Amino acid sequence: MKSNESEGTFPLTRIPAHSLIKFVHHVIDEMCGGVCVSHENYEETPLDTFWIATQTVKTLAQSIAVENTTEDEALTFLQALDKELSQEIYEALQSRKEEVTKFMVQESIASTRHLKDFDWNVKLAVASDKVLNLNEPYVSLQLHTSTGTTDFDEDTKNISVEMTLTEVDRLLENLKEVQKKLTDYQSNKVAIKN
Amino acid sequence: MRFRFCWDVDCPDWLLAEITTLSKLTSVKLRLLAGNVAKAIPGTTLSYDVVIKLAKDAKLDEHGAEAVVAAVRWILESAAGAGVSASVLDSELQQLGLPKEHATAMTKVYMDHQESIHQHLRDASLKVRGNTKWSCDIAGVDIGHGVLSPVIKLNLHDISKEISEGVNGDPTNSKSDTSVVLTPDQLHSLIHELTEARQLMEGLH
Repeated sequence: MKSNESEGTFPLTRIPAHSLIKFVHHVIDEMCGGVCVSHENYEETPLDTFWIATQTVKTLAQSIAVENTTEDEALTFLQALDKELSQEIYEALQSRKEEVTKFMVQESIASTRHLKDFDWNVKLAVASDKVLNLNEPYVSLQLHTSTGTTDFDEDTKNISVEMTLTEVDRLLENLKEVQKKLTDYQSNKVAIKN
Repeated sequence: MRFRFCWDVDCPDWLLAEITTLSKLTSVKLRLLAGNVAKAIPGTTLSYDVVIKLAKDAKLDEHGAEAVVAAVRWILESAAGAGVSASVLDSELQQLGLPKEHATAMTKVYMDHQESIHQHLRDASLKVRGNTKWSCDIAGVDIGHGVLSPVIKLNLHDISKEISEGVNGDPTNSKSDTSVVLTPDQLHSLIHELTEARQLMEGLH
């Protein structure tokens, strides 16, 4: 990542220094699904510079999150700012790495069918089409899934499944197996395939 | 008249008619036939040859043989579904006009297989997506800058749809499969919530 000082004034210098850290956090909040950063709070900054500053923080945050940018690189990138301030910004971005990564994962899976939310109910089936006195508890699991992110191309689909105790056990066993794989992966034991 | 093995309603007319055909078989043959039908209920296919052979002895034609199988199967499933005892089934079959030896033969088979048939009926009870086979695996998703992050791919395979798709079904783009991608956080909460649901279910059991 190159410092764009040569292309004009570094956009972050146009945000008042005393509210710069707040600005950085606001941008990350926005990235992770929070409220949008409002220009009203930074009226001293011209709108176009404000927008570029937002983008700059976003790019830097993502780059730090995936460890594509080292501390030195980040500080060099921010060199137009006060040294202490750039250190503070770096630390702020570093501390929110996890949130940013989660957002990036969410973004990357948006175009494939992914889980948005789920819900379950436990019910008792007293009788069925085949058995008069069934008295069997079952769980009804609803998976709310969608593909696409915008209102225009979003395609939501609800999947409902009813499962008996043994079926839930089987599913849980499957899920726990993957959970274990996941922990193994996170401790770098196995490689994942794309 | 109401019969307990008919779930407390009147016996269907077609069954009443088939009772007469059942009486044409010898009680030994009926027991053999019923035994084969009972074994076939939880899954294995009923051998057609066995049916034809038994029917031939009773001088039944092919349709007659099929009707007999249907009647025996209906009696066994209905009785097991209603959970009636063997003695109740025995007396009710006699009330319907089945000779005593024949009723005993049916009841004997019913006693031997009641549990397995009942379990099968429980499993086969109508459920939303009741035939789903789950599989899941970890996959990597490119989150930018060439970095792969782990996500979970959950696959729901609908066995009943696979059967209905039959020979013409395209295995590469099968309608019986649905895949959903989960983030690691979602996986953890799904496990947590399902464990809670499981505990609740156990409490009801």
